[in-house]
Amino acid sequence: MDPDHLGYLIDRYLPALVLYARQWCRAPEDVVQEAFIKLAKQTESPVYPVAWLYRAVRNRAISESRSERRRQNHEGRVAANAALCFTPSEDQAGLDAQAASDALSVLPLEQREIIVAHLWGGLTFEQIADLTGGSAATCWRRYTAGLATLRHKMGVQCPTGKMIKT
Amino acid sequence: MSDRQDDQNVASDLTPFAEALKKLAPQPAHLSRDALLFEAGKAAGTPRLGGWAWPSTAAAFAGLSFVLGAFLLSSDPPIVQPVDRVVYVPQPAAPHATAPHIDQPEPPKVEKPSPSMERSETAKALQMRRDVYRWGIDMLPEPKTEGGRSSQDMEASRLRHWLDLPAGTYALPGTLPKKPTKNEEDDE
Repeated sequence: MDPDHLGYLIDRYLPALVLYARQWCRAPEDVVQEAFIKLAKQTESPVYPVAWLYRAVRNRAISESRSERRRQNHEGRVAANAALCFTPSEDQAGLDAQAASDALSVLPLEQREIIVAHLWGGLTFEQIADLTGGSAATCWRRYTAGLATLRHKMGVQCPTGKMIKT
Repeated sequence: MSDRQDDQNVASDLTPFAEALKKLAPQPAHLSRDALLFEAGKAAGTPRLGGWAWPSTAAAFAGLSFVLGAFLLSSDPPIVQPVDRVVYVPQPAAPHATAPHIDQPEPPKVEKPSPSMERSETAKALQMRRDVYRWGIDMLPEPKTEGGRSSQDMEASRLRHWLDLPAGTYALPGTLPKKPTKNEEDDE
């Protein structure tokens, strides 16, 4: 793979991939690093490198999570609770990073995975459906349901000024 | 239809929240970009075959060469001793027995005359001999020739046969005594 393109992928997607891998395992950086190295070793560059990276990270992170559970009898979501997912925003009108991290960590995994992949990874619902093994419509429904739950947990009002009950 | 509209309404309501959420930057990874690029390049540069493959192959061939060289050095040169032996060679078989069977076209079959035909042929020949002794050589059958000449000869022989002339009627008088001419008398 072209080193410039690989550098661009690292700059653009490394934090998002770490956030994605954090849902399953406690050492997401190692998983993401392995995925990038695996991508560099490919003789033919994949058509959609970002989707390829997300798939590689997901598979490796799930495998790592199983190993961790076997070793320490821990649940995967403990890792998600452990760290702050987002950097605190300097914008006062922006969302609270801590609240967003807390709300995201309590979401069901199937909703959280889709939200992270779509919002910060930029994957389409078709690509996410291909990744998770469902349909694009199902992914979209889970996405909207997850967003509504997040907004409710964070106490953010909708544009019409009323809280949405989920 | 109403469900779809509700979905669209919910989505449009959630869009500003999603945009605001998207603005939150994920925590930076505790990974050095340069180190990651270096590791990726190193991994891409390493051959797919394991690092142990070539050394082990070279070691195997070196061991094989050593063993073969040891065999070559330890073995004495072979001593050739002439030994007289009586060898009984079987007589070669007949060519027709050993020769492979080859399909050859069969020669045309010649029909053997039956004994009755042979007897009749012999009788004809004897009759012809008797006729020749009695009537002369003209009784011999004419050789088969082409054209109308043969038919004329046949008619002539048939005519002679009908006339029943004695043998030697048409013979040349070369052996008969003749009267001497005048020149012969003068010479004498």
